[in-house]
Amino acid sequence: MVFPDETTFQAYLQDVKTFLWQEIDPLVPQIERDELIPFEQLRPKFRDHHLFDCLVPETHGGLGLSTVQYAAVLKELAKIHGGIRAMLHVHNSSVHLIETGRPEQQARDLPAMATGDLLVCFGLTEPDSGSGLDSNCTAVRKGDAYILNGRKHLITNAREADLFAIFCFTSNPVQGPERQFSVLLVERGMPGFTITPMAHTMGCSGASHDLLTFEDVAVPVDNVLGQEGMGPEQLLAFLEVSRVFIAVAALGTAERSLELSLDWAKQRVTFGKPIASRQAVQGYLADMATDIYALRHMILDALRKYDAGRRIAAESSMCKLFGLEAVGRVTDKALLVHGGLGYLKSSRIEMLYRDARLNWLEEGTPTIHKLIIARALLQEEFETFGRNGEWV
Amino acid sequence: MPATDTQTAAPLTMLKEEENLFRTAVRDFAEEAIAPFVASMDENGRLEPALLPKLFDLGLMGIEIPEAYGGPGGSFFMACLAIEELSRVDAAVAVVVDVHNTLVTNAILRWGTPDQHAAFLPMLAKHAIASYSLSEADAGSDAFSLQARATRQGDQYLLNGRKLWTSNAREADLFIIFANVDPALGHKGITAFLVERDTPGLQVGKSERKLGIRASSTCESLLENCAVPAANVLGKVGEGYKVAIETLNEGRIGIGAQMVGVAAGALQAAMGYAKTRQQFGKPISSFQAMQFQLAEMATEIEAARLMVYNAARLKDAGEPFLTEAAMAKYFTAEMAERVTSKALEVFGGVGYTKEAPVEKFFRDAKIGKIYEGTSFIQLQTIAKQLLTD
Repeated sequence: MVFPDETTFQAYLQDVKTFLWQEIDPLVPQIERDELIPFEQLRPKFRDHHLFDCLVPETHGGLGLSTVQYAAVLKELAKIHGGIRAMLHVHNSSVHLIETGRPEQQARDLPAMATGDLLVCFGLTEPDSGSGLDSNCTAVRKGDAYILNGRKHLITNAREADLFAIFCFTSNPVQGPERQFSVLLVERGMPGFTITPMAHTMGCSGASHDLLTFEDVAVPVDNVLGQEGMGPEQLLAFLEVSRVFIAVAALGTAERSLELSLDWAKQRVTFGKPIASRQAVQGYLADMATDIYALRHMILDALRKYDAGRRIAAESSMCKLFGLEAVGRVTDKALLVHGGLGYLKSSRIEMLYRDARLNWLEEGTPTIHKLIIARALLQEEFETFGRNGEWV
Repeated sequence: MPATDTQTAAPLTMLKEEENLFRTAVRDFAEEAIAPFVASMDENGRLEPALLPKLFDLGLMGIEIPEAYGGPGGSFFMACLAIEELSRVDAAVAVVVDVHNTLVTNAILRWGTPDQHAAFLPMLAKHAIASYSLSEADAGSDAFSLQARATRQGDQYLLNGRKLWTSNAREADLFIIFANVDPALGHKGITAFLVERDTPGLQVGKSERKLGIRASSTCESLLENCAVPAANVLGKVGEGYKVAIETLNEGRIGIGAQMVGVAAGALQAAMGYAKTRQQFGKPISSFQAMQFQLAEMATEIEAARLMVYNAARLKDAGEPFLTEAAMAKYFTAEMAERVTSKALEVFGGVGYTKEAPVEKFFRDAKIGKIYEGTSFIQLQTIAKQLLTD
């Protein structure tokens, strides 16, 4: 075990925190101004402080953290900067995806992911479709390759990534017209594969969110992640926990917003007293803390179940849904506590307020999560009363 | 959106002189004549019978009935003012006035023949209480799945079926009852009938025991070969669904007014209490936390009232009001639930007891999200209008 006990894990976590607050925090204003994260400059530091290998199993050279442990790291990243959080979240979540690959794929890619030499991102969202099984990306078998066509957009880390896990429909004309939902590993530079930057984002600045275009890209059959047709389970396997990680990001943003609000409320004096002494302001702070408390425990519950090997389909969507709504409320109130100064670009609250809004959208909108939760609820009804299909 | 009119557009809450006098009269009546009975009526689940003739005497029943038929010839907006003012004191009494004015009188004015006007409007203005009977056990939000049947026999219809949740039925003298003349026609068989209380075959059952608006009666009624003259069909045969939809579109505004009244009554009570209740050596109204609760409540009431007034004035002006009415009902009902809940919290433990008036406001608010179209149905109506416009 890399961390045989809680004390050694806490020492690692402390190292990460020290690194982030001493070396990354001072870079944040510059990143916000440039709307660019200097990834190449940061890569060796992220490697030194084990931010690429948190979730890579020890057998493949990683830390093999539990998701509960990883959440502590991710939360700290969200407190510092939403863009850096988004960048490392996508890489780390992709570890779960690559773990669904064949043994030789895992053996090749996971050690390189652990050092950060190989950056992986995943392609799910498309311009003309939502998330998943309505994909318009097709890959038709021709000899030893799949010919991939289609588009993906808003793909985080596309600018930096070396390997792109692309969800698409594969088919083999020799065997028939059936289509299977599969994941193809597309390498940067493959002929016919182009990456076009999209506009800068409202928050979580500096990470890339690009358009991927595939025009007759010949992807070797060996690059099918796992087997053809594993797409649906791969999607579930990594999204289920990845969605809790978005709630973790929301928690980090919310906690930092509360910390800053508490500091400010104690400093800011009006009518001769700090505003923290006003009941109305105290009410805001209490509301914020209550949301944070609820979110923290929802996340802990879901991740403990996940670490114990249980499915968390409904829990994960509940965390994501509650998290995005809670961080919305908390950052709203944090801005109110800060008053006009919080509205200035120099204010961290202004940044956190914008960062929070990505949590609303990434890995499923609130509407999608309500649907998932409702289906999970009603599924029990179906099983009990045999009314399968009536409500969905 | 209605066309703008810079000549006549005035602030929504600015009342005409006659509206102002009317509101003052209703407010005084509610505080003097109704208030003493509120607690006992709620406890007994029954209206004080002596109040009903007074509602007629004051001109609150059939507000829109023209003077030629013995009514005051007022406006729909005035009906809403009356409902709001009564609800500040007792939402259950307001139900009588609401159904009478915004569901039945207006339906007869709109859809009735001259003969029906002559036959029914004078009594609705003077002494006959009206009731509106649409819902059934399996026909709530899906109103047009109603099962009551009307069979033509000579110059009359025989009505058969079972109606539920009919407000005011215990006191009512005249009912609008919806029944289907031919189930094969679906909703295009639904027909509205004017049915007098003493019609053989109409049997009004006992009133439900309810969470709120307890003094208002809510009854089951049985129709067993209830013989109604064909002349009493309101609107055309098979067009009862139009009568129902369009009346409820209007009636919704009245419920909005009721919810504004309930919330305003709760706020008034909370303010009175906050000024007198002492804690930490000061009235609790001097604490920011309390002040802000009161300010939020007042702001929500103001927003809701403007929505109701606007919808009512649009209707009086002959402008489209469907979306505005649905929004008003939806918003006011949600608002009343929040405001009465906060008002209860201002009272603390006392508010939780029957000693204080506020737990009744809290209970009375709940019905707003349920009757005359649930909040879900309002949202559906609003969304449908948005998407078709």
